[in-house]
Amino acid sequence: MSNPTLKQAPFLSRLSRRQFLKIAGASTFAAAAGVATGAPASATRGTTPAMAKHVAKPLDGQELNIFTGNHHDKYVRDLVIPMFQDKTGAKVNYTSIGGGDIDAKYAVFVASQDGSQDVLYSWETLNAKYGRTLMEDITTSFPAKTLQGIAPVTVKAFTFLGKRYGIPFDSNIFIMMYNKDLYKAAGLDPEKPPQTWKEFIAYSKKLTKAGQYATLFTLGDGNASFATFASMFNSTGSLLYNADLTKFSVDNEAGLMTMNAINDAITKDKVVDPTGLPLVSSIEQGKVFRAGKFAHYIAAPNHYTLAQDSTQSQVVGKVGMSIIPGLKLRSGSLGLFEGYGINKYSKNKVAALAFLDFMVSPEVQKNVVAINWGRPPSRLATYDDPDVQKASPQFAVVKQQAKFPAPRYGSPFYFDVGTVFSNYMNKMVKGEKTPKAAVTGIQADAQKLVDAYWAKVKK
Amino acid sequence: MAFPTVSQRFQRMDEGRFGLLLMAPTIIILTVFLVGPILYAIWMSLNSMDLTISPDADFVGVQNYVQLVDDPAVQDAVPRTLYFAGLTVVFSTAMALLLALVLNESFRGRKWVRVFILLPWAVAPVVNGVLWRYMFHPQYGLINAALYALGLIKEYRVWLDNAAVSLAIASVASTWKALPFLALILLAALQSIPESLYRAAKMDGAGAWSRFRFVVLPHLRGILIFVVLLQIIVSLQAFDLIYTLTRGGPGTDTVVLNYLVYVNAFERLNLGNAAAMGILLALFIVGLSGLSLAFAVSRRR
Repeated sequence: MSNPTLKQAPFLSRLSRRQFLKIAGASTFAAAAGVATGAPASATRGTTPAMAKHVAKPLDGQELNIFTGNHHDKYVRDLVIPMFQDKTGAKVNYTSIGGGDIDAKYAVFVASQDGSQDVLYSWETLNAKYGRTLMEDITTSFPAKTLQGIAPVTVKAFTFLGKRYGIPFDSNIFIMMYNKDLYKAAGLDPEKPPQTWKEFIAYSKKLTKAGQYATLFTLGDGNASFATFASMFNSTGSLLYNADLTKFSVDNEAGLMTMNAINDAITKDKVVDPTGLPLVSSIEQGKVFRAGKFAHYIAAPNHYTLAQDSTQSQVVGKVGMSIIPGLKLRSGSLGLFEGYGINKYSKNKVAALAFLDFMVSPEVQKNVVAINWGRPPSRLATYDDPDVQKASPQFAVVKQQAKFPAPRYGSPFYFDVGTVFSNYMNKMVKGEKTPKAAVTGIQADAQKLVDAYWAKVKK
Repeated sequence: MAFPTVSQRFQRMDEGRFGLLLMAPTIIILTVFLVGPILYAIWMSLNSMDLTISPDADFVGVQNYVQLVDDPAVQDAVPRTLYFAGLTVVFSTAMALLLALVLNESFRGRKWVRVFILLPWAVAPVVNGVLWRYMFHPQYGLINAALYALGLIKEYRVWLDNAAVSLAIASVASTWKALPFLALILLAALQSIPESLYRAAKMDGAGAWSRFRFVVLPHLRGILIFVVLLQIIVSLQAFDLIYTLTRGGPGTDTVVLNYLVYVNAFERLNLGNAAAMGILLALFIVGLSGLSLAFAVSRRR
């Protein structure tokens, strides 16, 4: 069964590209007006009921279904969607589930060629994994003008084998946060965080004492293990894959250096809390950091915003930030960009595209993504906004961190490769494998998975 | 010409056709929701269906079944599944028998205890997994807190970090949930043993162990076999508990067969392979169920 592409969609006769551009233009204009007058976000959409009666909105009468992870509820459901409805006249139905269950749901969408959900949550691996079968290719349909303002590295992450399957609304990358009180208690200068991995370990040793460890690594599942490894590996300046993701390379000097560093920190220097190893989610780690239980926290910058919320944090005003100390380079990190794509079976692709455009509009990027959420926005101009700089001081560190490598290596085989890492790394920290045996084993098993995928594609 | 009323038509209908009519709703529902999906699963297992490549199916015959034999993930999952099933069967049967024997004795508050022990049975399987996961949480868990408070451990430890311990904990969690049901079945069987047999054994000088060995156990043999088979079947189907307790980790250390079916279907999106694995597992379980039924029938005779 063939499905309409954006160009062939029958509803394009009813809602032209010109109308679509109007929607995009309206959001840009509204935000600009808000900035110029200093009016709060809500005021930019403050039409009176009488005016609303006379102003036809571009998506009046249309219904848009958005499907996403429930970590977006507080921001996308509660803040973005009311703005979008108000601006476009569309009625939005929002559905969210646990992030871990997204894959299962998408599998059902593909198998049943279900187009009931128009807009789909996405990130690098979901783009790559579902690019062929679920996500609409928006390489040519998404407005090039909007794209120009978005951080190129994030757009690249939403592009797989030359095709773009979604638009990132953030440019989230790991930075390092640290507890200044624990620094002081350990006799360390809270204004001088470590610059190298060697210093990081030296600091961590001073921060580790009876009943308290300096930091937390997570090896709880494939995703967590891979993130722990890759964020450090990226600071060696090497790459885990070649450009077309056909060759995987970890059994080398950089891979061994990274694996040794992880193993030593856990088993030799003993600065990593062993009870944190089985954790899988940043939500769990963040809670421990916000309880003031460890000093060095390598995490996404929105955790800084959470750490300043006195209703859920005991470290308000005590958190310092810096770029992550690197193994070979000064630093390295991991990109965790999130965004939205369009269901290729959707019958409402123009409205879906309008939503993607709206998510990266100046208004949403500033007020929701940057200020409320504390995520580094994907629209670069947002960083220069004084309100944003004041509300989210972590973005200054993000800008510095972004100068260093942070590829996440999203791919259709991302989770399987992650599981291979988890298998070997867990055995290594239990003393069942040496770091060298771990990288050799990972190399062999991961390359098999990569080869198997591409063999299937060729077939 | 006068047409017969609906009531007259029913009255004229022969018994066979009337019976079929009454069964029709059930047959339709079963066909749509049970037979249909089973046939679809069999069809999927005979096709290459990798949803990361294409949403379309490509007929490959028994290739998916043949590939399972060489699949290292299956080879690793089989011993884990058997280990988990073995532990669960032994724990649950032994504990259920012990509980049934206690509940069969007369003591004050016995009725309340019988009601109270039903509580775990009322807990949803997913809730059970989450409950035990939090009990063994390395940082906030009740187990670490209790052992630390009692001075039995010097620092909090990770419980779910290796296959043997994690699967043993999963087995305890499974046992805790199944215990009330199994104990009630055994209690019913115990209560069907005539009191005169106990009295006769006592008169012959039999002690408690001898009464258990020569009176209770022979009488319970049939139901015990049924309980064992039932627990084997339930253990082989384990998914929800593993999903909520360990998610198959660390690494793939606690991936059992049914969990692997889920991973292949919903993480790897390889529906053909997952369907083949599911069909084989289902056939094995159906075989055991048949065996269990045969024992139950023979016991009744």
